Amino acid sequence: MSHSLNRVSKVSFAAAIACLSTLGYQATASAANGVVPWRNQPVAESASAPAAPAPAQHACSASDLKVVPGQQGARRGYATQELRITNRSTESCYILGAPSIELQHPDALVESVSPAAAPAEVAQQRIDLAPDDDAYILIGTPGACEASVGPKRKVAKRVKLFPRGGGNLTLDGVHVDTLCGPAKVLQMEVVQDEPKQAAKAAANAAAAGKSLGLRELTGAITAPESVARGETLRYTVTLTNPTNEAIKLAPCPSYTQSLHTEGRTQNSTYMLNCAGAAGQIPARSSMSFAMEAVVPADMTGLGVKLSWSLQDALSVGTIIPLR
Amino acid sequence: MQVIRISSRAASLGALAAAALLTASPAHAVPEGNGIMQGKGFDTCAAPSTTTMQKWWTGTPWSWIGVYVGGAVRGCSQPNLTSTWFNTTYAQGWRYQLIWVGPQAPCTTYSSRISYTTSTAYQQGKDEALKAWTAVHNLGFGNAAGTPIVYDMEGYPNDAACRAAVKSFMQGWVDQLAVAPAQVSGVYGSACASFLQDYASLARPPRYIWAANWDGDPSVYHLSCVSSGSWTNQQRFKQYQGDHNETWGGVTLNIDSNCADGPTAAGGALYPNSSCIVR
Repeated sequence: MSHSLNRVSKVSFAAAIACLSTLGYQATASAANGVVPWRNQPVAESASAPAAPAPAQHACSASDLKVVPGQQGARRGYATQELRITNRSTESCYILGAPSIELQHPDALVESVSPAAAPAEVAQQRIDLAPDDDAYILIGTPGACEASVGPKRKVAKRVKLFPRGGGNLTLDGVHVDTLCGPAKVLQMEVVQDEPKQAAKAAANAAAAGKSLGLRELTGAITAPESVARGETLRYTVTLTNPTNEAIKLAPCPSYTQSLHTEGRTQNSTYMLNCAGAAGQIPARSSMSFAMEAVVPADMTGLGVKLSWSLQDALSVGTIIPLR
Repeated sequence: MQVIRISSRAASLGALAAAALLTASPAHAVPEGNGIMQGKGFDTCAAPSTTTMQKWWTGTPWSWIGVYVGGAVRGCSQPNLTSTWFNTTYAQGWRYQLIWVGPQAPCTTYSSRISYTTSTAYQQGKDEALKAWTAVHNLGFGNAAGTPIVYDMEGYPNDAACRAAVKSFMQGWVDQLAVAPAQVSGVYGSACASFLQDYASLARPPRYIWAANWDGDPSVYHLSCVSSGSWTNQQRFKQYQGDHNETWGGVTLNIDSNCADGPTAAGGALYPNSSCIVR
């Protein structure tokens, strides 16, 4: 049975290649073991990068923002309190440097968290928030001291945040213990919420009646146990289409492979063998592609780090011992 | 390898050729277990997007990442941390240190602390191990057999009762992780201020340590306050530089820099930067 299926595969493949040639695809060597053969078609590396969004024009004010308490943590010796911020307005705004913050204790004591106490990189940091973007501010106090051996604590449960754009926001339910020292802003970051961004992209694509194309693919890499310097590394990349519709390889995408050892990187970019794949990855199917890369004879190190990226859609990699 | 058949008579010849090459979609998951990692890794408060992870893989010295998988005092929210994130980054080539940040020493100001009572602390250590296993299991590591999980115990004052409680807690952590399907127990902390050497004298010590020792020397075998005779058999990680920004692939992250000579989750890799393993 297996022999019969393989034979059918080979016959079908040859016929298909002949057909595809008439459609403008370049015919390639026939597939071996169900793997689309490597196609030696290098292309210049694409230097294009997605356009950066326009910078926000005004500093975030209290009316732009929603703030909720986040995690109470232990990090780098500090007891931390995360403040989660969302730009709830319809325009982008920015936060420049650590904001002023007041800690309010139950006994009416108020302590200021000075922006000047923040690390230099935070003091100079600007984060731009598009509408619905999230960021976090991490406040920290020293987590241990001689006084903390005893039972006394000095915990603020409320903070007041003063954005530079004006106004203030009061937030209850935090936990900032200043027993061992004053609080400071340790870190500010835009939150890269990938599931949220993916849901937005999917919704936009669905509304436009389009699929996400190559971005729907998942990948896996199969590489040899080791490779010798100066030899050709032969490996396989398997692309899987988990959706119910075929994903067209049109226009035919390029991929970049990267070999890296200590202090040295060698990149090369090629066109995928789309003709060998009949121009698509069918629904709920996988397809494997043979790949080749020459390992420089003078590459140092005990292992080579391999990375393979299909445009901006997906990437796979591994580390292979060098002989 | 399975061949998928096409039954539609309307299928084009090209599609038929493609179909003949197909294999069934593999069920892809991050494997449980571990492998020895020799090489550099970084940790950062929140798991970066998979796009950033790719940029930090290609042409960089990094081969593993420390990931805060849970615990009562994990510092940052983790919107990206799902089984999909692990699947994607695993395929990119990454391996992991899975970090659990549960209750801290009783003599600290952290919002969640263990008990001064050693018997209670022991049970709390066991409870945290169970929670950590559940989290790792839910993140797609199967039964997590052989998967390393490291407990983050931050520094604390040198107080005898406090040290005794922490030691007891950590014995509970180690003992519970050893219950089938056993994981590999690790402890992270300041080489000196977390008294890592205390754990070497436990009846059943953690299998490996991850020492924060920000002296700029990457070698895992050059640690302050840890005996050169402890954890000698590929059982060490070192955080040799803390709290700094680095940019790779155009993306800046605030990280700690680390070296490994020990077990990482989902497999290992010998990708040594020789400075990591100098004896």
